[in-house]
Amino acid sequence: MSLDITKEVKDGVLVITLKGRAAHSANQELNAVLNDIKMTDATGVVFYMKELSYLNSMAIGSIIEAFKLCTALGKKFCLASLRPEIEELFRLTGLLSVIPVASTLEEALSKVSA
Amino acid sequence: MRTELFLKPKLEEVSTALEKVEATIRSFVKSSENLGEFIIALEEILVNIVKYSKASYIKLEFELREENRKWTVFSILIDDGEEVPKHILDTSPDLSLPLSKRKIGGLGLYFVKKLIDEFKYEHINGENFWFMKKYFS
Repeated sequence: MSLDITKEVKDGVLVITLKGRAAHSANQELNAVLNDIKMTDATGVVFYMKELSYLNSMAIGSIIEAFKLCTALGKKFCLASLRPEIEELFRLTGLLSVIPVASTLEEALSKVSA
Repeated sequence: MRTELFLKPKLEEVSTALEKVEATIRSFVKSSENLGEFIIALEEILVNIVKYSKASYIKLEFELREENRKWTVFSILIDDGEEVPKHILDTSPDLSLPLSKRKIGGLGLYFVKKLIDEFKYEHINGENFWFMKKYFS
């Protein structure tokens, strides 16, 4: 299974939904998301990962870049609904103490909209 | 159960090889919560070989063993690429630094070392040997 990326604006927040597997073959698609963040008028960005089952180091690098970009642009940022195996990868990289994480999309929207 | 795969050092062959490895392991190990960790580690090494080593071939051998109802995978990746410098192998990202000060790269091998139960790298007679052992729960 490859990576499926969908984007929609909800309550003024850009929600980027990742489904499937973020392996090396998905690197370009993930990097393209950075352009969407640059172009959006949304005041916040949420990466919704409930159906993301696999994430490699390059994909984590892209998410770090997205977080840095949002910080630079003054947009709020949050990861939502991480599966345990994905959360473990973020924990290993020390990102859980840096990047806001919510257990549901609604909670993430609430954090980012606030 | 022992399997050998031969790959050309191309990213598209990495995807095919990973699918074969995962399907083979899944056919024996019915419920493995941490199979994904092994596949991630394997992908990280294969992508590193393809992108940086200038190898002309990659050989992947893996063997599944069951002891006391627990499965273990032993794998060896062999390639004829450039030797990996020790400082690259030993580098771990400094997680105490803020993101803005962290260096790009180095996360892949860090993942391998963290996700695999036993990992060893050797360069012998012009070939790189990447040994990995992973217990499945």
